[in-house]
Amino acid sequence: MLSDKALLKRDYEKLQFVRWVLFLITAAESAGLNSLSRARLHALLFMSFASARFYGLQPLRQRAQRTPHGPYYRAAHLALGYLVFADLVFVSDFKAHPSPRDLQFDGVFKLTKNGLQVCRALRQTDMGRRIYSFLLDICLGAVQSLEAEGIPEEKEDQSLERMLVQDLTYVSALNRPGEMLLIEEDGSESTPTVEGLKKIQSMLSQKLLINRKDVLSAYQSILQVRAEVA
Amino acid sequence: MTIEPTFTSSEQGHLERLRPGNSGSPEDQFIQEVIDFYRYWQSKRSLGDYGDTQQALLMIFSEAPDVDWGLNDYVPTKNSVIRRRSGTVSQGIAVCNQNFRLMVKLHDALTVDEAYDFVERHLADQHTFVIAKFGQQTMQVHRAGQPLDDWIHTPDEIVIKNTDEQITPDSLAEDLRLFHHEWLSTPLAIGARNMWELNATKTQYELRSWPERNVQSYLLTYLRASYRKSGVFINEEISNQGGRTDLYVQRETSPGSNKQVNTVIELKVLSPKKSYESNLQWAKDGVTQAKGYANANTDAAFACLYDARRNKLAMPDLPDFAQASSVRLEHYEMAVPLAPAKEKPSKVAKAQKVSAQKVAKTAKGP
Repeated sequence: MLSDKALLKRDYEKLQFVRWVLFLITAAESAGLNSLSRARLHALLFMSFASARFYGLQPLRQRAQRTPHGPYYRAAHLALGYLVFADLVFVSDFKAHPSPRDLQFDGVFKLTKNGLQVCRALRQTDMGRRIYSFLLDICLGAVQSLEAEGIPEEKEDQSLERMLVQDLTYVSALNRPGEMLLIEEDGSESTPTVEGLKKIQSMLSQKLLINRKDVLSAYQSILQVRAEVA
Repeated sequence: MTIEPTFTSSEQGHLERLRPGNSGSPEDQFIQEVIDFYRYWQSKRSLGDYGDTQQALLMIFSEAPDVDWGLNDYVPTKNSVIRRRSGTVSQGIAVCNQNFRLMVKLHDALTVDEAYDFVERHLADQHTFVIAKFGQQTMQVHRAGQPLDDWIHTPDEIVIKNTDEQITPDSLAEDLRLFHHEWLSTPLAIGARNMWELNATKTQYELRSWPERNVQSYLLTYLRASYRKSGVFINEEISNQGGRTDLYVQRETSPGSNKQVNTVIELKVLSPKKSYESNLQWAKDGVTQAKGYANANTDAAFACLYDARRNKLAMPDLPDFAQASSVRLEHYEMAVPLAPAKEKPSKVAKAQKVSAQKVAKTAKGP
């Protein structure tokens, strides 16, 4: 993908996406989240874009494709391909898909030692550090919520999947017609997820001193509760 | 327009039962997990039974233990997974991530002496690790960046307390005083020795950058080891801005009350490089920030000044300023390391210099 030719805007955007995906895979590994399937990775990406503004970050994408497997980002799929071929991410349980456009392969993704080193280098910039810190907080929050809800280890995978599809922005997007799942309405610069996080922050901070990651964790705990009821 | 989400009363009730997680850097969180790991293990034993004083559990921080243990020249004969709530592991070598979800045991039986031996052979300055000596109720903590050659002779040791005394602003003030005495009062104290470095010309010692972050990390560990049931908490969002370094001690007003009370601690280090006026302003900023971060549940706000100036001139306006802000001002002196003695040229070197000058003169001729 890279060469010594001038970097075009579209290349720059691709690189941004590759960085985000590598950071998310590293964050999941660092927080001790279990195996990262394609579906889980895309669902976590969706939640990260839906909540990015809570950390003052701009989401990289405003919409995802609606598929029977959940939200889907073509750019993330391409990024995964780059990362696997560059030996930054290892794929196991590989399954090819016949689809000519979208789901070319499925599998379980795991960071490699090279990937960890590259991630550390990319975190040296201020923006890199901020994005990684946010994604790590999402993943730590997911683990914290699993523990707070007392989910047994053998049920964690299932519980996490069910929690992610309860995300407020995802639920809101599913209820709209069309093939695309919208994250932000035009010009709103907010999402149901960000509004939910702000509300939880306001409720918790009346009684407790908390960090933003505790808000993310509390939000995911509420989604766990909703998943149980659903 | 985004519709404001609603949460049911049951969901809101659920939120009230949640508690904040560990805070601070990943390494700080790892150290807090070691303390919790020990406390859980201890809770499973009968009263007063602390186990074998010779045994050690060496816990090494790794960002992603499944990917890289960070040990270049050590290959274990076997490894196994351990769990944070096993309550059984009190010796061996384990590599753990920041929230202890991933814990890989590399070695089973380990004595304290063997732990030091392993540290010297396989670990380096960049490793963060803890030698937990459960039988002695102590932990020796090495943070990344500390020179291991010095640490191995005088490790940073923390006593883990299991008492549940009621914390009050006065008792906290006493703990802050003890912390200063033990960790920061002299240049060789456990914490202070990592905060000073020789300047570029090797003529004077200066504070390393962001000294407040060092103090915060040490105090966080110290208080977490001291208080079993109170949350000691770092405001992570604040610590990233201009050296503002807050720490809170949060606990229930009484056991089971579900009503929280907190104490704010603002840390400021007065620098030997700054002018009197800049340090005074820095101290006043600390008072203002301590006041600003107090909320309705705050019982006291402390502004702790760690005075590392060479000339510790009094700041007579400060106590009144703090009092007017309802902030408890605590002033602790940090002794500055003496400048290294200038090396006098030895007699031999002087004689050689004179002789060389004579030779040069002779060679030039009249």
